[in-house]
Amino acid sequence: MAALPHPALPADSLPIEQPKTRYRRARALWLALEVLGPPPDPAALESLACFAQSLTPIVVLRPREGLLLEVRGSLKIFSGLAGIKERLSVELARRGLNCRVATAPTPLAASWLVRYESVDIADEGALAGAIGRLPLAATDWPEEVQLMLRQMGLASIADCLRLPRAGFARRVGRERLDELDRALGKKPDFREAYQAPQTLCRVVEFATETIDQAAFVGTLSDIAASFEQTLRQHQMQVREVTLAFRHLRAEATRTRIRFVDPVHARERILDPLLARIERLGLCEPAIALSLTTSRLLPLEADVPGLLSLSNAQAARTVPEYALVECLRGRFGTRRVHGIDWVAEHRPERAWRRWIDRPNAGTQPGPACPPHGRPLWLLPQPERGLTPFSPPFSPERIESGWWDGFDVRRDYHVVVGAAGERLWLYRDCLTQEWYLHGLFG
Amino acid sequence: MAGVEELLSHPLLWRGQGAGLADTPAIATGFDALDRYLPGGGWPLAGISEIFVEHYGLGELRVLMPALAALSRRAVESRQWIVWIAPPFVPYAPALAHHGVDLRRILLVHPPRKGSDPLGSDPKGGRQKGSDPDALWAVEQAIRSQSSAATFAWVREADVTALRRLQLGAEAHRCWTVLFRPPEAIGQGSPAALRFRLLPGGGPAGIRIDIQKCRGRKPRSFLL
Repeated sequence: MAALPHPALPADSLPIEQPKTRYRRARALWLALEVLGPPPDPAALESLACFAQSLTPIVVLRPREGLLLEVRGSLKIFSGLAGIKERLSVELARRGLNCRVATAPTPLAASWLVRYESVDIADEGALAGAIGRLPLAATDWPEEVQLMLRQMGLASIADCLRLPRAGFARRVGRERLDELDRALGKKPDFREAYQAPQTLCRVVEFATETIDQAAFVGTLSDIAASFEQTLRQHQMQVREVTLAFRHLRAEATRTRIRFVDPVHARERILDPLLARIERLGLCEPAIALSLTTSRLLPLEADVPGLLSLSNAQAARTVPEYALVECLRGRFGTRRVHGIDWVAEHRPERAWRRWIDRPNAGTQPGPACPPHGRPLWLLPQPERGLTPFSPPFSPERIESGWWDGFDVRRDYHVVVGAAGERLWLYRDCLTQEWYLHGLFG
Repeated sequence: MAGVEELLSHPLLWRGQGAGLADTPAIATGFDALDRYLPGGGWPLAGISEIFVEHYGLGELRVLMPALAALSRRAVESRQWIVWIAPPFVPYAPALAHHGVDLRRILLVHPPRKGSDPLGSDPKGGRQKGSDPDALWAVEQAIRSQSSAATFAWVREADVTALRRLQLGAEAHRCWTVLFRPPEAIGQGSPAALRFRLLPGGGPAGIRIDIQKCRGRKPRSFLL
């Protein structure tokens, strides 16, 4: 078999760039915590992370597995690693969780080690030996990569570390090599510390049971004003609010408003809410009302392009999505949307809705939409109307055999009895006539 | 003197003989004969227009397309919407794009209707009885939000008070408001700036327009 021609790579062609290491990272110590048994649910893990933040400011979530804690800075405070583990185990026992703990100088090594054993590796010198003993299954590498490596006769991470770097990168992928480097601390591994979500919530209790809209409007208006003040002070904005009415004898009535863009202004929060409560139809009088925001997001100013807006237009401060949100407040999100056309032969698939961002459609460009299409399309082709005689030669549309929505139709433009122009087609398989559009 | 000029140009002041109508805000219709006739040289932008349609498919959208295409390009700049409220069928995006409409500014609103969904209505233009408080509310929101350049609405029943509210709002906020109404409503009094009936005709576009009312002009017909 002829060798595949590829440029010969010198053995040292993939050198490790020496990062400028900060002292803190150089002396990091990561404690990995693995929840044994069934994978913990996200809420339980977040709650555990909140506790772990009492031990160190840097806590990283490992979804469905456990946590990573950077504990070097906390060793003195809690009198060594033993003290930290002691506090952790007390809390875990209280929560009824069974866990394994391992420490290593790098986060990746710690999270690989903890899947197999409970060890403490304090310095980088011992790291390569410790993770080298691990089988390939300790990594997060995809199953096919692990299978390929096993077929090549590699069983452990040490086997991988022994291979020439360039060849390993070419056969297995550069990302895997990078992962090995990160695990050994040769490359930086930045982890985002967990932050508990911040939300705003206000509950207002009424003096008596009430169903008075005016009282709701006044209360919501006050809450929206206080939200705006808080959001401005913290330079934050929100994407979603949930309104709940509490009843004495029934489940709370909840309704959620999602904004097209994150908002912080009082009117943007209030107007959709008012449109919504007008239609809500409470079954019971309410004793209290609460408004809760979703997670707060950093405020981003809407800066118009330098050349796109004249001063007069920029001064017009009506946000474009306020109308969308107000209409959605009353009718629901899916009933207010934008449209776009799609390059597709089948007419019913040649358009689409834009729900999330109604103005996301394509710009008018070189791509040309098809000619001779009606301005009205029926949502479903309607059967039964047989034309007297189709006056024009038909347009054959035949497409879609590959995706199971096979169509074979002859489209005709037909003038109806009242002078209206109709877009009919005859299904070539069943020979039946359908009305599909009107030339409005 | 400036005060008098200001008063004379007030949109609510009606002057006989069509005087002072030349500077009515309008957008060219794309049909020369119609542009020469209509005050301001096009569809009136300040105020509502009512179109009475016997059957869908007679060209009720085609007649508006040149103006809509121009307005949609303007609306991209000003970040305004062109709102379609309760359309009887799906406004077909490839056809709109073919007419030069910028689809990014189109916003469709489907208020819930009792009995039937607006998208599932009778293809022959069958209409149910009952007023449209939701559709009228949506039209008013669209006009008063100042973020819509045009509003097209399919409204079955609307009393004079409701139409008057819309007319005043559209004049104040300069929103091109077109109401598509059933032919039965033609006998009803209305404060609209323009009212016309749409019929099949013999012109190049196959459309006949019977103007019933136009501010400052005598009613007449056009073949487009």
